[in-house]
Amino acid sequence: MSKMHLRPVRAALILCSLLSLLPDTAEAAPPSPWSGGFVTSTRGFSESSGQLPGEYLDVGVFLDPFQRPFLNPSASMRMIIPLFPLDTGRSMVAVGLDLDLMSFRNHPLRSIMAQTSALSPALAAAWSFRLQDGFLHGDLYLTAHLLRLRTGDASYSLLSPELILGDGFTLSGWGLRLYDFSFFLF
Amino acid sequence: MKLYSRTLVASALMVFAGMSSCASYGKLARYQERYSGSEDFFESRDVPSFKAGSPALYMDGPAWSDRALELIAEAEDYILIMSFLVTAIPKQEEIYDALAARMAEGIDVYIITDSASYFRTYPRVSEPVPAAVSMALDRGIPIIEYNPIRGSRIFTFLGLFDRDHRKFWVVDGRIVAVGGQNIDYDSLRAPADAGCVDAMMEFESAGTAAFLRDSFIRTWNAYSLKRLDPDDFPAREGAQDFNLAIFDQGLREAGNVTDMFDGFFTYAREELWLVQCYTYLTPALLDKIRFAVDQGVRVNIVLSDNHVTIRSVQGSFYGIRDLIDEGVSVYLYESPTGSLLHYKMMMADGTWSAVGSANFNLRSQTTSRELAFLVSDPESMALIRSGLDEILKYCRPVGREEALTYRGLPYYMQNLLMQFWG
Repeated sequence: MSKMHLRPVRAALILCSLLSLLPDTAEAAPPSPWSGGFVTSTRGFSESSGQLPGEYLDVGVFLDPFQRPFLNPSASMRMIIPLFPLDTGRSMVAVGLDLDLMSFRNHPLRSIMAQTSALSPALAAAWSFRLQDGFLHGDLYLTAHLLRLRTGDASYSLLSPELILGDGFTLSGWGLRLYDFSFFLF
Repeated sequence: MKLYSRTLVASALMVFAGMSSCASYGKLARYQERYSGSEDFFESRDVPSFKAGSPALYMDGPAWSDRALELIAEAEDYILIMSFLVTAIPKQEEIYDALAARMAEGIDVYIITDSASYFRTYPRVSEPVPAAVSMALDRGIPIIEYNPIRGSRIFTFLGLFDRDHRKFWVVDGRIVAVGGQNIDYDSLRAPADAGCVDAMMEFESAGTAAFLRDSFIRTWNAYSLKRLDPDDFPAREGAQDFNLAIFDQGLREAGNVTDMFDGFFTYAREELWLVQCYTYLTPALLDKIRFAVDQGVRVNIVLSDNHVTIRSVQGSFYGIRDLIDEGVSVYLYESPTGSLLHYKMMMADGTWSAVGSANFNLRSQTTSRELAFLVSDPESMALIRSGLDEILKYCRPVGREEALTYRGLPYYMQNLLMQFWG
């Protein structure tokens, strides 16, 4: 894989490092006792993506150490498993970075949650690869979590569209995450 | 092959159960060798202790709710309430109205409850009693649920068993109350109306208030988007007459209830009293009892005869024979008005005692957040002994013959279920 292919990954890593150095734009909040947990989601891909048609299940862990009200970065590592039909041999590993853009406490969807929630749209980038193919032979997934609701100990994203960039970072397909739930555990 | 696998698993479980039992007995023996007394032992387990004074014990719903209303009326700065259950009943409305009125005068009020509040059924009420969460929100009272039970959270799997069973109040960083009383239908009804016999124990203690404030805020900040800052809830000087220790098995903390049990069963010298609503025994818990009995300690356990559900009755009564076989004197509290005995108290040698929320079961040791105060000062002990004497007036001993009648299959199955559900 050429150096060219690694540019977006490097750029994402650099961006996240810089964001973590930024001071909070909002008033410093008392710390949350959480720093990470586990994540699960269900998604499917377009035929052009080259993935098997069917339903995929993600399970993984995430780290959200900063919990800033704006531009909050978090990192995750997931297994993406073809669930229906089940084909564990085609499972993929994804390492990614999410960036919560901002938080709106007064949002139009607050009545669907029993807990107090905030609408926190986010952008995400993940490098996904099959273990047997190696890290360098993967695809870049760019996801927009437009409907992400945050509560004190979880976040719930619904209907998140994603673009898949394949060889040479050219658009190779698209996908849709039906849900993407993160629960803080530690 | 299947049979082989099952046998293997069953054998492994039996060996594990046996080993954990022996391990518990051996553990207490090692503690006894290593630490000279309960104070040494609790210090080694990092059990915090603070100066306190002005103890008071409220043994039923009306007594505690009257006192709670007084505390609300007299508060000068803030009130933090952790109540495992809050249910929509008139008494709850009265307390919420009082809190809302004080909030209008500038007093900060925060409440944490457990999601178990949503699923309450009571024998005397034909329909489930709703949780009083929206009742608080309607009045503008900030309230959050611990580890909410929702369909969307099904992916937390066994994490949903983690429940916050604590009941405590912190008022103005000076007054603290801990015990078994929720702000709910059973806890606040009068015993004459079959309300619980239960207790809240109150002290004046700045150190304890600061400790519980921090515990409350840690939990609050884990489940709320609005973060609280301990600095906004200062502690204020209170009485400093004696030491009060705290077993707080709060957010993501483990083992503190087991430490409390271990301390009592290892260091009681002559007599041990446990007052419990029910008991769902494990080999390790029975082992602790056996250890104390082998040391020559008279172990007495008072259980409630009345229960809210049949599964509690059968699940709890199943273990009575095991207790008797270990040498325990078992008593059933038969309330003349059908009250549930919900008081959770341990007392060793009439000189030191713990009052709080922990049941004598595996759940309280592991998946529940629990809290208890440990006291040994004469004034507190007099209150606790007097409470026990009052309870013993309505107790009768249970013999082995009667205990054997509670060993049928339904009792066994309920006991098994309640190991996880109770």
